[in-house]
Amino acid sequence: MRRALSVLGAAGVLVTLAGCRQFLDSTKLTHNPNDPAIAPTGALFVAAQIDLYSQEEGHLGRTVSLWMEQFSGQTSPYSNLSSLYQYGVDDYYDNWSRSYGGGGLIDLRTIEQRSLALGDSIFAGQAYVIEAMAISQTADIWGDIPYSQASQPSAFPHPKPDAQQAVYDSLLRSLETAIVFLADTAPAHQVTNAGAGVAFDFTYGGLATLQQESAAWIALAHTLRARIFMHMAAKLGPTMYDSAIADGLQGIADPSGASDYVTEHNATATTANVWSDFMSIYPGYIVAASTMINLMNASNDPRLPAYWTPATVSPTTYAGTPPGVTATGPVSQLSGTRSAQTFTQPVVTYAENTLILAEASCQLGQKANALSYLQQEQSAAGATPAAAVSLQAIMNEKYVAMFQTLEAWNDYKRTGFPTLVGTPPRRLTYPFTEREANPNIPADGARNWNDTGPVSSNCG
Amino acid sequence: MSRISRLFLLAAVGASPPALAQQSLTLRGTVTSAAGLPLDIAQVVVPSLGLGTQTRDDGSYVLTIPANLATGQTVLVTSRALGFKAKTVSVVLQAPLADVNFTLEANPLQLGEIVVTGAGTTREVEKIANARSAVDSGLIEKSGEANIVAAISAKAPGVNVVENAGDPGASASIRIRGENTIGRPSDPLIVVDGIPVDNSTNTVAALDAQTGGPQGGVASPNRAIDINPDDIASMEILKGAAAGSIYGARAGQGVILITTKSGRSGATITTLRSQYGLSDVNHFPDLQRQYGEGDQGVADPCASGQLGLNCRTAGYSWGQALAGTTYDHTNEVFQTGAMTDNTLSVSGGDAKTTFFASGTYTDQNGPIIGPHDYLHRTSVRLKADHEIAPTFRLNGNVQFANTTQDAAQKGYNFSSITWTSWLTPPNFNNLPFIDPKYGVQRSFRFPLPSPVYADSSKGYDNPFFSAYDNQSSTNTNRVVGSVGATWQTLNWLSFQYTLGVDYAHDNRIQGEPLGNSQTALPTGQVLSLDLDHFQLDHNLSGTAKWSRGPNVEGTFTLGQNLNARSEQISGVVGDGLFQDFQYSLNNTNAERSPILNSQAYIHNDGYFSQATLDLAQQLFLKAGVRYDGSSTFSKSNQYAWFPSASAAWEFTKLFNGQRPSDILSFGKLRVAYGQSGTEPAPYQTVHFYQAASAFQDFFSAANLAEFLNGQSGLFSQDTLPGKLKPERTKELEGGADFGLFGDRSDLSLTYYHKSTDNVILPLVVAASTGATNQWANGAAIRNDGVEASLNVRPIQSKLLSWEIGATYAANWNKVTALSGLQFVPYGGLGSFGTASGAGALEVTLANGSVDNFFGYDYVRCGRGVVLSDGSPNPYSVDGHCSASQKRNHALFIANDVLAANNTAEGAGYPILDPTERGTGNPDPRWTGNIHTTLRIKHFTISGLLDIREGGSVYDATLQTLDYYGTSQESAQLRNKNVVFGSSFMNGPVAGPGAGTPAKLDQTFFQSYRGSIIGFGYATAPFTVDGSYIKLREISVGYEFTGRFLAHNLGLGSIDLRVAGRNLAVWTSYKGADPEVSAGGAESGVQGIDYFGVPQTRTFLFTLTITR
Repeated sequence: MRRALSVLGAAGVLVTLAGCRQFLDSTKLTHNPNDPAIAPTGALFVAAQIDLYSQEEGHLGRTVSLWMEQFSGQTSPYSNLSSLYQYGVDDYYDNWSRSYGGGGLIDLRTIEQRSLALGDSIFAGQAYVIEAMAISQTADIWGDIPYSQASQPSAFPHPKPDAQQAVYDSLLRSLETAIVFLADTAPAHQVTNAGAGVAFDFTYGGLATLQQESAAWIALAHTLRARIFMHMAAKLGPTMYDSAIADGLQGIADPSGASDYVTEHNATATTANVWSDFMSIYPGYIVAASTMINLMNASNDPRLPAYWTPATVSPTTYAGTPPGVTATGPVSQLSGTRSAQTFTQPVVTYAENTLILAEASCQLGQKANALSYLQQEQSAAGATPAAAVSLQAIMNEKYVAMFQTLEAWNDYKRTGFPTLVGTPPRRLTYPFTEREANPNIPADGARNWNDTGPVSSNCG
Repeated sequence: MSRISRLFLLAAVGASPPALAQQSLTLRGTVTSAAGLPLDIAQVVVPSLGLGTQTRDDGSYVLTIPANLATGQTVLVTSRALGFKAKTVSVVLQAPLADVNFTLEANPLQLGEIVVTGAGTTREVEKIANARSAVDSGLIEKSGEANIVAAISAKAPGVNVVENAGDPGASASIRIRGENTIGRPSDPLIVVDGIPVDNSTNTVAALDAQTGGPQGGVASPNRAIDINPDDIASMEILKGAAAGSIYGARAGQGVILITTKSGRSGATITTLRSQYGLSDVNHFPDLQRQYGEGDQGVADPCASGQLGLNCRTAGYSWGQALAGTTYDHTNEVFQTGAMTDNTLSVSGGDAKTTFFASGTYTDQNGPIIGPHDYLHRTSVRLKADHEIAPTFRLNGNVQFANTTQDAAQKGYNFSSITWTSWLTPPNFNNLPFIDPKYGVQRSFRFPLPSPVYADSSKGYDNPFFSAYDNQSSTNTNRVVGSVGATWQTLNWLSFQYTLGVDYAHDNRIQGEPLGNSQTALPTGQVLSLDLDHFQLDHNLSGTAKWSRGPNVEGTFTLGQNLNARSEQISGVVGDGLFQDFQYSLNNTNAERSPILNSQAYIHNDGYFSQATLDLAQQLFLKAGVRYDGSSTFSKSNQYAWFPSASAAWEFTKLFNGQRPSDILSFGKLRVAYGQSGTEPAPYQTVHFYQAASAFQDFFSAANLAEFLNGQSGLFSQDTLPGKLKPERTKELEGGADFGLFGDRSDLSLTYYHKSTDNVILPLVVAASTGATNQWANGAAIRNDGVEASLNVRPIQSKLLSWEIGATYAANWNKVTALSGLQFVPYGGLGSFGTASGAGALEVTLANGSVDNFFGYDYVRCGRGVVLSDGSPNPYSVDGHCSASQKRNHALFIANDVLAANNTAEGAGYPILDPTERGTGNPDPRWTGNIHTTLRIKHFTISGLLDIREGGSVYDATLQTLDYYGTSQESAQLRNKNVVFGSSFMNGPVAGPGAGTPAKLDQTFFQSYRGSIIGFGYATAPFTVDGSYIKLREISVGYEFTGRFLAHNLGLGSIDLRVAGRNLAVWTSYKGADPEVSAGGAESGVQGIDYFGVPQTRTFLFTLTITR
């Protein structure tokens, strides 16, 4: 009896052992139950736009606004960043990695390839435009950057940087392609995600027809081309101004600002404008800088109340403090309008397009055109139109018009305007972690290829 | 074995014809130690009759033998007690019975006692071939800790415990024999009565990085907090891979085997234990009271009231010299916390059934004022064992616990109580914290807000406001239960089975009131997080025994283990409170995404086998192998083998059982080798897109979620999957155990060499590839160490006994391979550096150790630093240093030219190094303890000194206090003229500005020295020695026993004890507590002092009544 039981016991053990072969194979074990393995292109496009917003409005945008002396840092780390330009070797690593990783180049390329495979040229075109906007900024900041070999982890584990000029050239070409694609509004070519009223095109998706939507993207593409030509002008000479004008004339032309490329936000903390979150959580860390306030006070600029809170209420005054200097009296802060959760941050605008036309015309000695463009922009902004034109007048106007954008830094590097108190860095050093992991990253120089400093101007 | 013979005898008794008319017999007597002390809880059993009892506190016992069993036969009666050698006498069961008294010899080495060795296996102490660390119930009880992990602190050599904070229920993490993993938690597997149990530490950081992250937020509990320490009979710490190998892929960080108390057949014993304690914090950072709120020596116009309502201050205490009233902010929010703990346990049983039941309620109030710093635990347990048939026993064990905990905001966040109180300028009174006129919270960053700002951030909260109004509670209901059976099918063959379940539901509520300063929406928020942990464990084993005479004996075990674990997390954040302080989602006007919902599943499929061979009763061999599969490994590497082998030789048996000499009474040499593994987290081998994620901003609070306008977004994962196999630890250990001077002393020595390869970590890849990291088996680590313990019992008499002992452990840690990288982040502290390399607070350095501080220093000679001096040629620092300056890393001092082009304040000041470096190592050089127990009759006095030598602490608290100007140091050094190297930062200096006087002004402190952690410059000056000696435990007890209690009160004994914990500390460390670490058990990071709640000193009064 006992022997029989033993056999039974042993048999039971064997049966149990044999019965568990599927134990490691169920779906919830072999697949991530939380995150999908495949992403629809529409969902990738949504994240790609938000990624771009985070670049424009986040630490990078804040840094440029501090260095361009629109704001003055009051508390660590912004006080040191503001006046001493101290930053950690990986402080902008997130910005770098987001250009290439999730929400950046790697996903934009997926959208482009999949859309083209389906013949959805419009959607591909939109992705090309976003890519040009994002990557040109990366090149503006770091100069030579990985691009042709970037975002292909298996093929190129150590992507080689392309020359800054090659990156710009490549983006100019893909914007050209995008313009062709976007012009093709045949219904057969909107099979996936493009189209009027498509809610995930946050900027122009709300326009009534596909034609209008595509036209807005095409204008944006032209303005971006104009912007890139301007970034190459100091190095490559006046033909770049001609090109910028050619594209600028087809760029964003709506003075009402309705066709501007702006960010989109909702009224919750995780979807709100990043400036809004920052100002709410870190009140008083950065306040108005005297450089910008003095400039705006001098012309009694009508945009003061839209940009800043008054320092004193009766009488209404606006005041700033020099970069990194702790304010010792009442000081202006970012206005309620601009720190609202749903504030749509301008990125590429009618003002930029018009002032590119003004600057390029002026640089080519076409002063009458330049003045006209400057006046058009000022009228649209509600400012008193200038009586005469100069490079300084154009650039100071652009500095105010393009408040809180990254472009202010490029303009300053190209023209030396506005006149700043400090001497901000001309580029960011390559992120330490990228350098550690990528032996192809070159030594850091003080300046990028296109940054020759202000060139002698025909504009005066 | 004894059970088998008893069964036969019982059968024989049952089968024999009725004997002569008998009467029941009463066996009585006393059990005393060789020193003459009465032994309580000693067992007296008659195995052949299946009878047994336990002695009372005076050592007496009474055992009634029923008439039908007393047939005049001769039986063997055995008495045994923990810590004593068992003794057996033969008794003829015929009336009249003389008293049967036992005198047991002390057995401090616990020879002959059976200990659990994992997965259902057991072994006698003398046959174990690895260093054994056991912690018994007495030691756990003496510690008075509510958390069993904290209770083993300083108890076992090579086992280091670090507590996160002084809040009740704060997590404690364990590191055994150094760090041998990088990306995975270093905490060991905890197994309770054969069931692996969850000891995870979860924070609410996934929902709220600003307040929930480990760099700020609150101390979260590790789940071992649910285990009632009073239920524990003993803990076996399997430190090495040789011992842990039987748990294969889950044993890489060691294993702690916990055995809970069991009932014994005999009289039912009832114990009531009542404990009352008081605890407070008695170490704080030194704060200044000389200078007021302001900047550059000038009073802040806002703080001084010049600017009236609604202005904000910069918050620095760099203002004017103070004359009037000042306030002490060091301990204004601290209080003396009280704790009570009541436990009732009942145990007993008869020949077939035994049981242990306990119920306990623990109530601890923490050292922070207000209603939100506490731990409450209710726990009940029933453990029972029943003999169904002579060959078949069934057992069950179930514990239910309800644990609720709330902890104070600490660390770096704008509601942190320590942060906001220690940074308050000395001329600002934090009381009243609500402005009496306007009814709005006032703080030093926003001293006079009007009601318009009721719902706005105050910069930093008032610490009193935070203490009274912030909630951060956890509420956990947990059941750990098992059923098991043993089946002795044949004399030589038995089967064991256990099916166990561990389930916990944990609900977190974090409530932030209207007008708090720590969220993007200061209109109040409620964060609700639910965590479910489930574990099912099936363990089946069969063991065969065989022998060829007494000199050749062996066993063979074969078993299977299936384990399924799952974790479900869901969380929601509600914004905007309707009614203040009511923290429920219903009371919020918008539920904000991300609504967090995640699941994780892990299955393990393991098979194990073990063979033992005992030769000549002195050579004990063991070999084992485990074959483990895990769903977390890559398909191509799904299973792995983990072998082990060991040998122990009790060489003193050579002398034929005689003691070789009075000096060496017991001696054993041992050597053991084994392998164990560590699993990756689930889903690191598959590719996916990130959903419910966010794009992080530099300040973690202002993140952008990847969805908008109702459209959901997805983006590629930052960390690529890898082909992962287990991290594998191979360990060889050898040592010797000695009993000296006839048990009066014992000595144990161990050396180990441990190498871990295939260490799992997210390797940094070039971000321009489109991913920042990739999971890989990418590193190798080596640990070598020695452990020693010595106990001496010079006096053992009835009146007086004295024992004194010491332990010592040292570990040398080295990273031998790191995939060609210079360093990788080691754990993280919230948003401060986990994803990328630089910016991490602690990193693993190639050819260095696993855990290093990482930060900025000043430029020093001998490090190859190249600077710019404005000329086209780079300026080589080392080119301007002598050989000895390079060797001594002399501080390099700028002149005007160098200062103008580099980050130096001016001539005479040091230059900030542009590159981050390893700045120190939190690992102690060695640790040890000295413990002693002195008993004078019924008085017992015991003490435990905890010693840590070496190991750095990064005093980020002081760095921040310096920046804000509230530290005593910043007041004493303020605007002082010094010469670097001779009157400040003494040491060798070099460079063109050496010897030039410099002024320690505010700019120096704010831009070139102190800063806020994570954005900080020059962290190296704040990385300091953290050695300490702590009087960890001291207790005085008195035991009342005797006839008076027994006869008049019906009680066995009353034990009164007064104990103190952490009463004194000797250290050169200037901060509050070198032991508390900002990184809790969830992060792995250690040694960072960053506005934690310091550990408390505690006085405990305990009354134990036994009946």
